[in-house]
Amino acid sequence: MRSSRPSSSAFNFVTRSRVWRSFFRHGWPDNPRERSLVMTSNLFFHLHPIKVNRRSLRVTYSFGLGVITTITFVMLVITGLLLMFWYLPTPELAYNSLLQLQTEVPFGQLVRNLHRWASHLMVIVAILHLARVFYTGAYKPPREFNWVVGVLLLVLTLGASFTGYLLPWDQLSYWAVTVGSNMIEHAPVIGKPVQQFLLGGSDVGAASLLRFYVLHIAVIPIGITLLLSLHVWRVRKDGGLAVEKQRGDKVFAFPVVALIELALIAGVGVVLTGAAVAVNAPLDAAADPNLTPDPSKAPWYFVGLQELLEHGHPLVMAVGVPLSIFLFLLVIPYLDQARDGAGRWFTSPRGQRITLFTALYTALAVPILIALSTAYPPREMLRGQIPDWVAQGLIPGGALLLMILWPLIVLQFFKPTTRDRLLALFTVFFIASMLFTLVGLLFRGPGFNLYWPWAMPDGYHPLVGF
Amino acid sequence: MVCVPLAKVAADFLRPIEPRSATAQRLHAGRLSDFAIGSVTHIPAGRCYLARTENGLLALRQKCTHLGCAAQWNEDAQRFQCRCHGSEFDRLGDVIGGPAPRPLDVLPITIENDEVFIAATQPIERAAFDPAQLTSIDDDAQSSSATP
Repeated sequence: MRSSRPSSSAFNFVTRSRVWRSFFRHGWPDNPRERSLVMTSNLFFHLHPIKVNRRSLRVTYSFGLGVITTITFVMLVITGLLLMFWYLPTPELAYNSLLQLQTEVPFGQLVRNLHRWASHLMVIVAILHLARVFYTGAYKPPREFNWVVGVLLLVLTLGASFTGYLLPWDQLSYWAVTVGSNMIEHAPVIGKPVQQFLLGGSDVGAASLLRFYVLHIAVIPIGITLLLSLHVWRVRKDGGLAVEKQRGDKVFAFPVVALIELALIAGVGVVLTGAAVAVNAPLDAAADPNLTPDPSKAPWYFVGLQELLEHGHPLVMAVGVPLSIFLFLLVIPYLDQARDGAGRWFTSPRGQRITLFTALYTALAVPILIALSTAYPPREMLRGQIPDWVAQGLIPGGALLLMILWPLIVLQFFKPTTRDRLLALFTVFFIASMLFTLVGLLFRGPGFNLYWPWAMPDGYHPLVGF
Repeated sequence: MVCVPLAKVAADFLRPIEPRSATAQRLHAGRLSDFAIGSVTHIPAGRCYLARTENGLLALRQKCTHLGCAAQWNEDAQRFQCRCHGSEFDRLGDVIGGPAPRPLDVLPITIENDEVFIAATQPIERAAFDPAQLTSIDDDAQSSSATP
């Protein structure tokens, strides 16, 4: 191995030894041949192509969101494995095992905090990644299949977070999962069997804790690992990130890609460690099946659904809405099969305008609808006068549907392409989901009534228990 | 051809088995004389309430039929109230306000030698209160449990 700088004999002794050269077969890659070899002969790097399009490396294109999601997943696996040395998965022992971890185990509180904040970060970044891929049109052919795999990964991520949420077995966990699992019960035909399978019975109990534990530490992580491998492999098979291509775009992946990934790992590590040092993961009072806290909220990514449930029947709001979002996401790449426009944010200036106007419209429409429904609730005002399914199903469901379709109706006058329509629809769903979630998280207090977040009664703080 | 039987085997393997502990299945709520006519008493061990009317006993599961929170009996307001989304039920479990879609579930009661037992793990759903759901005091050794 040639070294162009003065080196100590100790350094030379090690790096020229037979042992070293049997591990590291090629020199530091500083020429095209070696930069190619490092990708093909290194276990970690062989996941990468030898050359990448320089446009796919731009921070403002992808923001590295996919990589960040993967990094958080790895952190969750590592911190999760550490937690498994101390956590006991039965109702009698779970809570105290976490108390012990937090108070008697060196760095126990830190590991738990890391795990909690990493799990929230993973859900957020996965959703942002989905939005990035959509808005840059990176689902277009030939990437349809990978989009579908991505949506499934999101579902698994939410499942991992939800199953993990129960494990502390405190008041927060017990009732959040009770509310969440009762949303499922309202699905026709399959609702009750699915709920009973998840809970191991008809109530949240010891069987639920065990099933959630198994799902959380084994079934879902294995599923995520398999799908994630498929997902990353497909990115390479599909030719890397979707970008607008020109000649001369390609550069050697090594060392740029490795450095970017290293920087992202360091960045995520710093952010998460900072959060873990600054804020403790919540641990409420031990679970009491006879006392429901007031308010009793689902985990933050389901609290938007809980907000919707204030305005309509569970069948519409807790089953119909999530199912519609899920199905809509799945069909996006099969509705928009045009290849042009992939790799560019919002596709065109017109696409930018459509997204912006739809976002503003939704930001106005959602608070107005919530205010109207709260001031003039159909269910209470019309109780006994019209059937329940009209007051709780048809009216709220119809209002939601109208809100979602209105941008499409307006767009119809402007000769929209399929991509234009999808931009509008996705933006409505995305902004509306965010707003319903924010309202449910920050503006609902005791009795699940609306309050200003800084004026909550009974000493309730909306972000405690996040 | 292969998937369906395999799926069925997997489903059978994973199907939950309700707890069979003696206390859960036949919870001793107390003596008949503990429950005055017109009273609604919380039975924490069974996560239910025992209501006694002139015509008999009714064991009501405390789980709110909206999203599963624990409804609480308010003695002053003489109604069950659920803190989660404001559902309210009368002493017989019928919905009188809020988003709950159906009345509180009832649980089978057995009375033996003036001792009251509740089968806390066998809830029965109903569309509305029916007098047949009451367990009559006159039946000593038998239970006339609620019709589903």
